[in-house]
Amino acid sequence: MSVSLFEKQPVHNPLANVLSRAGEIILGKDRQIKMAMCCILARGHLLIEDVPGVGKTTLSHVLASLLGLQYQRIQFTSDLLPADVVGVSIFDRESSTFRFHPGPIFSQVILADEINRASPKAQSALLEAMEEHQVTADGETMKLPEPFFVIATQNPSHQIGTFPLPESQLDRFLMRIKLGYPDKAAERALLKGEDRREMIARITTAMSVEELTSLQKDVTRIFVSDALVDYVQALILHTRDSAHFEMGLSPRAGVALLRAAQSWALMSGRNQVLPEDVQTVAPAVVGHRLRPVTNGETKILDPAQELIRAVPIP
Amino acid sequence: MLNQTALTLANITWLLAGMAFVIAPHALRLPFWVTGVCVAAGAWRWWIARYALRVPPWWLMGLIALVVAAGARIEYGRWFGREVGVALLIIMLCLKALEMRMKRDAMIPIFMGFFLAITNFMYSQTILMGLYMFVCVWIFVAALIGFNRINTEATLKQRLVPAGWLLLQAIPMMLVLFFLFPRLSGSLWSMPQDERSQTGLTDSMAPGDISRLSVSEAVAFRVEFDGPVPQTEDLYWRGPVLSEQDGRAWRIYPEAIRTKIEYLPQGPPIHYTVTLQPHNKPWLFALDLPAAAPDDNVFFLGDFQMRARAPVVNLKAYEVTSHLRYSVGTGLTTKQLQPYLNFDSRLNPRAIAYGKALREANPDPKVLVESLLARYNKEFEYTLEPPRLGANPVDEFFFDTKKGYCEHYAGSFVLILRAARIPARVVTGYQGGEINPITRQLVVRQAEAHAWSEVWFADLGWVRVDPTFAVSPLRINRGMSETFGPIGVMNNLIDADKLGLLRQIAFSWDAMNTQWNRWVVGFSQDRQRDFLEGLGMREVDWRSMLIWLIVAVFSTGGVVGMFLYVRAVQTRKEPIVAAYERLCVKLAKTGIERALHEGPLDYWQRLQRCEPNIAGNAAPLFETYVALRYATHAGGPSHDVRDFVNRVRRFRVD
Repeated sequence: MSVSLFEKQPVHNPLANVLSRAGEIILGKDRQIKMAMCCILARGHLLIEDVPGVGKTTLSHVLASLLGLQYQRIQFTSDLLPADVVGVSIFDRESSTFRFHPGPIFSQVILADEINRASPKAQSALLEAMEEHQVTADGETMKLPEPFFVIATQNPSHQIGTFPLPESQLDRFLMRIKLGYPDKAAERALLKGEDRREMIARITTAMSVEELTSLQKDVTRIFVSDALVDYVQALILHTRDSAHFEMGLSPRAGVALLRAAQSWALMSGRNQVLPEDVQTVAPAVVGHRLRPVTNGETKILDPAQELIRAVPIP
Repeated sequence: MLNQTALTLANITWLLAGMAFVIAPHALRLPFWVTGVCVAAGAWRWWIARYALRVPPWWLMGLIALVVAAGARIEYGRWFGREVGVALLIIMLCLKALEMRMKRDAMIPIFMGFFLAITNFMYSQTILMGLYMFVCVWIFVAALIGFNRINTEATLKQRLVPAGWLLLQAIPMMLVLFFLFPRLSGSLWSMPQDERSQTGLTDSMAPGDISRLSVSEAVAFRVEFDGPVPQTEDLYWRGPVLSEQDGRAWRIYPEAIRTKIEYLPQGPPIHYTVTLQPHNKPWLFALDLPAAAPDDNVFFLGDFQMRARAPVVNLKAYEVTSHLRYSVGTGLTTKQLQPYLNFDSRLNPRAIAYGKALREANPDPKVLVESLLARYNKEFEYTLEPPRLGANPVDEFFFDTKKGYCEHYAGSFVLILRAARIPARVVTGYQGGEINPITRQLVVRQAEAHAWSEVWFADLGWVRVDPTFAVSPLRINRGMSETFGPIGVMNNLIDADKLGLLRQIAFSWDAMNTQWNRWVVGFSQDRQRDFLEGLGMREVDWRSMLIWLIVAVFSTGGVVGMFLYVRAVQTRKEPIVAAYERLCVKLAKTGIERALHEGPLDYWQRLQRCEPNIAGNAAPLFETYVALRYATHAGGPSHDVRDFVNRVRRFRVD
């Protein structure tokens, strides 16, 4: 058994390619890029939360372009209507019938920009699409293209003019990541460097759709041992028993945690999931699903870290 | 921090619920203001927990405690005794619950609650009370579990299920202690009785007086015999002799004091010492018939009543000599016998007429007495719960209800004999007694109070005749408790008729009650001995019982412990995990300890940064561990695991 865990594993080439090329455009955010990629490989939707101007949109743009996916951007505003997302039927005079004009959602990657600026009605138009990979308009259900991702960005909810996403919708995002400000060196390179928009325009595909789909299949084949399931269960149980969280993790959250960990293990070049994988993805996976109890004295700043520290690995 | 989180609203509510459950049966007996104080304290405590308020300051608590204690002293007029003791305990429980500040404080009300559960048995020992107290204890254990949880609140299930298991695990030990702990002859639940409810024989006897005593387990006196203990049927303890009929009641005949009577012993003397419980009356008790007064402070009345010169208010011990066979009063004159022929001719006309007719039919007094006894034997029924009697109690009892207790028999018997011109009188006292095998003392209880009669024959003098014996010989031969055991069961069985299904249920319930009384409430010293001898133990005395108790406690503890240990072993960690933990313990010597939430990879990397050499040596072990535990062949061939265990054993951190 010569699995050397402790040396860098040769990672699947196109994947490394995607990561390094994205890193060239989005400077100093390698970990966030990797996490976003991890989310995509796990076939999950991604929510990027941060203040305006740190590169949320750029990141989603870059990923879609590198993966060679068909890409649509929906700018969510407070007057956005569901039809603006899904599409609308318009009367065609020549054929004397209604013809459905597909909305921007019929696309492989949706960038739902500033999702929490839209009214709940428009937000919910995304719901069905995200969960079922299909939309229903005029009583007709239509399949969305495969692969299908939603990368949504949102402003922190304390900003003006936001409708916080309901729990049900938050739960549909596999991960929520934060970008944060770039460090000093990265920011300097950004200021001195080329315009990012032009760089994005020049991006060529680094991974084919077939390669992406096969990687996504590989993720599900990453081995999960009983011991690891025990650990994931212990984590979930802790959130349900603990007095620090208002509500425990849902079964869907458990599945998400395991799937994301598998994806991370694949990206780390391993065939099996380790507790470390779970711990690595946990902040992104459970951070938006856990609401810490705020009773004045004990306010948890980072619920995911709190959770990881509280649960021993069995 | 933790201490404060223990006193959460839910935990407090559980504690208060347990307290409410355990106090509820007492509430009706307590003065209303005590119940009021309890409710107020409980509500206040709940309010404090609900709105996170401060508990009352110590001086206020002290003031409340003083006022309430003073109130109890005024209410009961004493500090000691069952009623006042229970009341004070309940008040203190509620006040203690009110002033709880931290987790440690909560332990006290819980354990007081356990104790309070016991006090309920001083008032009622039924199955239902037993079940109810089980529920109380369950709630308290559940509350205890809640208080001992850290960080998280226990749910209903998390409280009740473990609490139930704890109680179930305690059952074997409970049974061992119950069956093997040496029983004292006293009632399990006897307590210093309050003066106002003190029981004992009085100087008169009306229907209902003695049957009232029959439910009292209080000890009347204890007797130590110098020689062997006489047969139970000879154990007639003579007390007040009632010669005067006054309406419904029989009373002591005041003139009897003067008369001196000749006493001819006809059997061997029996020497014994009586230790009499204080009963506030002057009379003493002695085996029928005492020969000589023990000391100057004791004297005899003409009817062989033994009296002290002052009421017995303290425990009194005196030596007496009695003869079981005797001849007394053969030479009495008609004038001397006249008081024993008087009766109240205004009442009970049918009984009086019957007595007169009996005399005409049987000129020989002995034949008459025997025929009267035969009538008792044939038609009457002995019961502890006789029907109520009206203005002519003897008439109603003798001709109509025909159910009664010893005072009915003795009273009607004497009245009919007097109507038949045969001198007779009522003697009250106690009959029987129970031998305590530890002290070898005979214990006589209030429940053994009895009334019989003495009849005068010209050739024999005064002869003891016990009409109750004619009705229920068992009562005399075997003693009170064995005849009746569960008091009232017999009556319930008789009444539960013509009800079909209800009757079935009543029978089953009575059968259950009988078993309960036999095995739990009435599990007396004798029963315990019978039971243990039935198990094959010989020569059961308290020493051997103690030895068996110790042996059984340890073996039961051992068996239960073994069972729990086996369960723990079954859920023990897998060998691979245990070996990995040993590896981590070895590596911890480097000063780099694995955190509980740290995965193998993270730990190894941290190790490598600080101790690259050791980390390098350990790397293959980590790889094997990860492969065995998390990779595809996790839980694979056990020789790999054994190999890993051995390699960990050989691994050294230098």
